[in-house]
Amino acid sequence: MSVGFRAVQWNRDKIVYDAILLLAVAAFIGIFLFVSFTEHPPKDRPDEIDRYIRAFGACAFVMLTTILCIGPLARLSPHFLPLLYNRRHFGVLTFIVAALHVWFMIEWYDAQGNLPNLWIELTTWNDYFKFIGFPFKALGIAALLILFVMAATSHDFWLMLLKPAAWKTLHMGLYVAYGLVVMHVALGIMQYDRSPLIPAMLFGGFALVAGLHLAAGMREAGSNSGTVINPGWIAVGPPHSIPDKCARIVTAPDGERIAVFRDGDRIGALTNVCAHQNGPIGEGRIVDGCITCPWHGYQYRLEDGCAPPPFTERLATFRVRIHRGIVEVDPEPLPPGTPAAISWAQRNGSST
Amino acid sequence: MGLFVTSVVAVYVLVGLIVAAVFLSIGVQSVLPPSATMTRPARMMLLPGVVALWPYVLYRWLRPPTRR
Repeated sequence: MSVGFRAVQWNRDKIVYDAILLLAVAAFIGIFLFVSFTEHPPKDRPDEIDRYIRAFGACAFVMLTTILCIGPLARLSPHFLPLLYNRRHFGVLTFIVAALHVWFMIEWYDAQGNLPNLWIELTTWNDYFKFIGFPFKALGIAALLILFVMAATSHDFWLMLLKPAAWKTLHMGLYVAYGLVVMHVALGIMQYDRSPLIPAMLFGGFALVAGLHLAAGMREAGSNSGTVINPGWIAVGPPHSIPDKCARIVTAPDGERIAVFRDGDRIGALTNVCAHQNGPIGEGRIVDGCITCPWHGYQYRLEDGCAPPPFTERLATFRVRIHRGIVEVDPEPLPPGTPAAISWAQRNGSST
Repeated sequence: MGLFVTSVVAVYVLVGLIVAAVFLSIGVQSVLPPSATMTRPARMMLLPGVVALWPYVLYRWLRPPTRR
C-alpha cells in the first residue's frame, strides 16, 4: 500500500524470493543443457542452438505451470502463501525466459540463412486451416504476446489505472497463454520428437494445474457457511463461533462472499474481496486493529472497511446484528466506507 | 497480407513510443491519485505497458476529470 509509485518496493523477502527463483531457473537450464550436450553432442551450430531452444522452452513451460499452481495451492493451504507473495516477479521472469526461447528460435533460422522461411511459415495462410501442420510457432508467438502484456502491466500503477476488475481480467489471460503453449508443444515438437518425456511433462503439467484448480474449487464450495433464516438476513453463528481476530465467510444469495470478522467484542462484516488484487480478506487476520489481506497485506478498518490514513482504499460493508444469540448479516451491501460494526457484548437479543 | 499486418503493428508501436515518451514525461501525474508521486525508474518501467496499451492510456489522460 503506498501513495508513491516506485519501480519495485524491495524488501528482504522479495530479494530472497527472487534469488531463489533465479538460481532455480539457472539450475534448470544448466542441467538441461549439460545432460543434452553430454548424451547427444550437437553436430553443428544449428543443432547446438536447438538445444538452447528446448532448454528455455521447457523452462518457460515449467515456470508457467508452477505459476498457475500457486493460486490454488495457496487456497488449499496457507503454507503456500509465501509463493503467492512475489508472483509478479515470477511472471516477469517467465516472460523473459519465453522471450529468450523465441530469440534462439530466430537465431536457429538465421544460422542456416533461412530467416525468410520463418516468415513464409507464419504467413502460409492455408496452413492455418489444418490441425496437423498448423503453424505452431504462431501459437507460441501469440502466447508470448499475452505474457508480454501481462509482464508490462505487472505494477500497482496499472492496477490503479485499469481498475482491479479489468486488471484481473487482463491477467486471467495467463490461462489463454497456457492453453496456447500446450497446443504449441503438442502441434510442434511432439510431432517429430517421440521422446516420452515431452508428453509426460506437457500432459502431466496440464493435469496438475487442472487438478489443483478443481480441488481448490471444491474446497471453496464446501467451506461456504451461512443460512438464510430470516428474510434479508444470513445466520453466521454464535459470536464465539467466529474465531477472535479472524472471520467466518458466508455467501449471499447472489453469490457475493461476505467476511464476518470478530475483534474481541466487536463484530463487523465486509466484502471478502480485497480492493488490491481481489484477495480473500476473510482468510486474513486482524493485525494492529486492522483486517489484513493474506495475499499482500492490504489493511482495512473493521468499523467501516476503510484503509487507515493516508491510504484511500475502501470496501463495502454489511449490516450485522445479534438476533437471539446468533450473529446475522444483511446481504445487501452498504456503500464502501459505511460504518457498520457492532459491539456484541452490548447488543444481546433482537437488536439491529 | 503479411506485409499489411506487419505495417499495422509497426505503426502501432511507433505511435505507442511517441505517446509513452510524452505521457511518462509530463502526463502521468494527471492520472495518479492526489498527492501521489512516481519515481523516474518507475516511469521508465512503465514504458512497455504504455506502448502496448497507448489507446487506453491516451483516453484516461485526455478525458475530463470527474467529480466523486
